[in-house]
Amino acid sequence: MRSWSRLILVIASACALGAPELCAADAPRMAVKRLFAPAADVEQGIVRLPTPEATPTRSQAAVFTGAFERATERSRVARFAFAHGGGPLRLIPLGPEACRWRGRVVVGAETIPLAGSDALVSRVSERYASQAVLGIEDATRTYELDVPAGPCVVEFWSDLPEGAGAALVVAEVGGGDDAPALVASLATRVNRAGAPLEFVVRGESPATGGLAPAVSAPVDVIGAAVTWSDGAVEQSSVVRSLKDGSARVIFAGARAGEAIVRIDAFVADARGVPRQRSLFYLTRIADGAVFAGAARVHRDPSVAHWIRCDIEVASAATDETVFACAELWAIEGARQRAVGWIGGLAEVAVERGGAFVRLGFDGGQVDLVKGERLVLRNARLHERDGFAPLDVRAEIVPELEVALAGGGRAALDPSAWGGEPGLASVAVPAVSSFLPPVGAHVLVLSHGYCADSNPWPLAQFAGDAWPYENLETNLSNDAFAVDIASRAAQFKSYGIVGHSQGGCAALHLYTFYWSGLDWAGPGRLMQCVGSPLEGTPLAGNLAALGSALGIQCGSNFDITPDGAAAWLAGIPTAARARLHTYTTTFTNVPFFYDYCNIVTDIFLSDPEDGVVEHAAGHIVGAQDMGLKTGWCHVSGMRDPAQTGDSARNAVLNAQGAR
Amino acid sequence: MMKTATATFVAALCCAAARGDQWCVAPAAIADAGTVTRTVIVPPTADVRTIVGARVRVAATHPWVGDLAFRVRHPSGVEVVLVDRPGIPSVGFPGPWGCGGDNIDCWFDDAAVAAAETTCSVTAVPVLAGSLRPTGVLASLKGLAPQGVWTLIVSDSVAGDAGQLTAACIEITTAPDCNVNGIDDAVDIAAGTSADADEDGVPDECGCVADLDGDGAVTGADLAVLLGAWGSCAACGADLTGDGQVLGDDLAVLLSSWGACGAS
Repeated sequence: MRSWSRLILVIASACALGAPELCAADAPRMAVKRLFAPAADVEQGIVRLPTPEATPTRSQAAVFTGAFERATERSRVARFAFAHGGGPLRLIPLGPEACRWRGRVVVGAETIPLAGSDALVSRVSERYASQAVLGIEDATRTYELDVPAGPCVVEFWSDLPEGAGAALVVAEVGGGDDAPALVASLATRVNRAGAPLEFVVRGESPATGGLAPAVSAPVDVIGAAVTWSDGAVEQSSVVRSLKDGSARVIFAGARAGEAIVRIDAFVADARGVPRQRSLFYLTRIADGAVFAGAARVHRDPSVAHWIRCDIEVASAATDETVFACAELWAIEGARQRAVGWIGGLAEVAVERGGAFVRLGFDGGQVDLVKGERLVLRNARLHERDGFAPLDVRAEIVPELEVALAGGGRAALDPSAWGGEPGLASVAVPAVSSFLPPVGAHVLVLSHGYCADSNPWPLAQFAGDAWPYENLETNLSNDAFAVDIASRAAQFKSYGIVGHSQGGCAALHLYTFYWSGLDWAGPGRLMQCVGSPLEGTPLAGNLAALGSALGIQCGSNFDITPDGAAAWLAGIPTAARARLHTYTTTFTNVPFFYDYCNIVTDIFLSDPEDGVVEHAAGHIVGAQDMGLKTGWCHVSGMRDPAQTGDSARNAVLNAQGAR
Repeated sequence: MMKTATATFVAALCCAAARGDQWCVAPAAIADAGTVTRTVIVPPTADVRTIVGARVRVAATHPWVGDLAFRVRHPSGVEVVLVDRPGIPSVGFPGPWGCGGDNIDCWFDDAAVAAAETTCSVTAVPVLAGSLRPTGVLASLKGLAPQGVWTLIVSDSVAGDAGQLTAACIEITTAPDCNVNGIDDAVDIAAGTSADADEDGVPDECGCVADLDGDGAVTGADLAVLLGAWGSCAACGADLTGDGQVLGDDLAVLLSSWGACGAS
C-alpha cells in the first residue's frame, strides 16, 4: 500500500541518515567502468560485432495493418487484400475488441463468412487468442479455413470509430517448419543518418523432411517502405533482384533514430508455389561521433600502472557520450596476437584542440615483447542508447608513449580508484515502494519492457525484496539500467532478479556502471527470467503493430536481434559470468495447443515463451539455468506467467545476492 | 587499558618499536547506528616529554566501512578525525552510501600517501589496509603531553550493519631524551640544564663533543682542529672542557673519544 506520508518520511530519513546524496539537491552520480577483457574474449569472438547476416529477421506470415473505414451509418469495415497460393489458412485479426468483429473472406466469386455468420461456419475453425503481448486486454479470435488459390480479400466489420486501427496476420495452417520464410538482414552494421540504408532480402524454404537446413528460395519483393523516426514514410528507391534469387532493398538518405522497415515479398515454397510474406524490420539509424583515425596510448599520471588510450574522434557535440571499444593486438612483422580488449562508455572530451574518447587499462595486463607494436583493431563506436554502431575501424595504429611490459604483475583492482565519474547523473530516487528500510541490502525485482505492473509476487520473496517499478515505459537498456540504479540508490547494495528486458538492464548496469550491484554480498548477482538477451524477432512486429493499433510503448532497438548483437559485443565474459539465465516454454498439449500465444508463435522458433526464444534467452559466458516447460512470458498466454513459478521464485530468492 | 601487550601487536611492534610506545584500547562491539567510545590511560610519570609524532592503528570488522567514523581525542580535548565515512561525498564511485567494503586494519599516519577518506575497493578485504593518511592531522597533537585519558570514538551512522572493534592503538613518539632525565633534550638545552657546545640540538653529555668537524667520528681531522686552536680560546668549539683554553685536558677528552661516535 502506498502512502504519501510514508514516502516523505522515507526520503527525509535517507537524507538524515547520512546519505545526503539522496536529497533532492544532490542527485547521486554514477561512475562508468573501464572494461578490459582478456585475449580469449577476442579469440572467441565474445566482444566482436557479428556480421549482419548472423541476426536476420524472418517471417513465415503476411502481416497487414490498416484502419476501419465507414461502411454504413453504424458500421465500419477494415479490408485486407493478399494473394493466396491455396490451402488452409490461419487468419488472426488484431486490434481492440477484435473478438467482436464480424468477418468474411472473399476469394473470386466465393464468400466465406467468419465469426458471427450462420452460414458455412463448419468450414471455419475458431479459437480465442490473447492479445496481451500487444497490450490489448481483450482477446481476439483466430480463424482456420481452407481457401482456394487466388486473390483474397478479408473484411472485418465493427462499430469502432472510423480510423480505429486494425491488423491481420495471415499464415498457412500447419505451416510452421514447412512454410517458406522471408528473411532480411542489414547489408552493413553501421547505418548512419544521411547514408543509404540497405537490406539483403532472401527466401528460405525448409528442406524435405524438415530436419535438414533450410535452402534458399527465390524471393520476389513486391514492396518495401520505411517509417522514419519522425513519422515520415518513404518507399524504397531501389529494389534490385540478384542472380542468386535474393534481392537488395535500398532506402536513400536514412534519417536518424529508430526506423521500421516493411518488406513484402513472395517466397516460393518447396513446390514452387509463391507465398506472400511480409516482415517488419526495426533498426536504428545512428548519428554521432566517428573515428578520426588516430589514437594515443600513454601513462595515466594520476594512477600508477594505469594506461590511458585516447582515441581521436570527430563529433558534433562535445558532451556526446558513446560506447567505445577496441581489440588490442601485438604485431611483429607477420606475427600477430590478440592481447586484450578495452571498452566502456565515454564522453567525448576535447584536449589540446582535438576531440577524443578515453579508454584505459591496467598496464600489467598487456605485455608486449621486444619488437612488438600495439595496434587497435575492430575499434567501434556505438550510440549510448540502443548501442547502434556509429563507426567501425578495422585498424588504428596508436602513438605508443609508454612501454607495455606487464611481466605478469597481478592486475590492479580498477575499483580502487573507481571509474570516470559523472557520466550519468541519476535522478532523485522515486521511493515508489518501500518494503525494506532505506540503506538495506536488498533483492531488486525488476519488471520488463513496458510492463503495466511488477509481475513478481512479493509474497514469494523474503522481506528484503524490493519491487522496481517504472511502468508502461519504453527505455533503452542504458536508460533502464540508470533508472534502476537511480531508484535503488536508496539501498546500499542489491542483486537483481530481472524479468524480460529487466534482465538485460541488470547486465547492462553491472557491466558499464559502478552501482549497488558491485557491493552485493555472496550469491547470484543477476538472475534473469525470459530476458531477450539476444533479442526477439517480435520487436519489429510489435513496434509496427503497436504503432498501427495505437498501442504499446513504441519501438525499442535494444530488444531486436541486431540491437542485442551490438550490445552484447560490448559485454565481456567476466560480466556475463555473473548472470544466471532462466528460460521457459509452453506445455505441448496434443490437439489443443503447442504455443504460448498463437499470434507470436508465428514469428518465433520453438522452444519459446511467447516472446523470447529459448536460444535468445541465454548467452555464451552466462550461467544457463535451463529451460522449464509449462510457463509463458506473461499472463494471458496459454500457460501461467513465468514470474509466477513459486518453485523458481524460491530459488531466485534463496540464491539471490543482496 | 594497558600498554601494548596484546598478541595482535607483536608483528607491528617489530617495525614500530623505534617510533614510540603504543597504547591500546580494549575491543568493543560497534553498535548499529550507534557510537562507542574506548579509553586508554597513559599514566602520569615524572617524564614530562611532549609528543612529536603519533600514528593510530585501527582494526575492525564491519561489512560497510562507509558507515563508520573514527576519532581520537587527546586528554586535553584536542580531537583528530581519523576517517569519516570513507567514500562520502561520492563522485560516482563508490555510490551514495560510501565505501561498501569490508573491514579495516590500517595505520593512520600523516606521512601516508593514500588518503583513508577516498580509499575504496569492491574486492580488497580489509578494504582499509596498510598505511593511510587520516582525514585530520595527527601532527596537531605535537607539543602536547602524552599522559592522561585518551579516547577513541567510533560511530556508525547508518542502520543495518554492525561490527566489532578488534584493536585500536595509538603509537606516541615523544621528544628525544638522550640523557634519560624525563625532560625533552631541547628543554634541557634551553634551560641550561645541558650544554650543547656543538649546537647540534643534542646535549653534550649524549653527543660526541670531540667530533669537531661533525663527520660522525673523532679522527685525525678533529685532532688537527684542536691543535690549531691550541691556547687561549674563548667559547671556541675545541675547548672541550669549557675552561676558556685549549690545553692538555681537552686533548685528553678528544683522545678518549677516538673513533666513530657512539661506537663505545
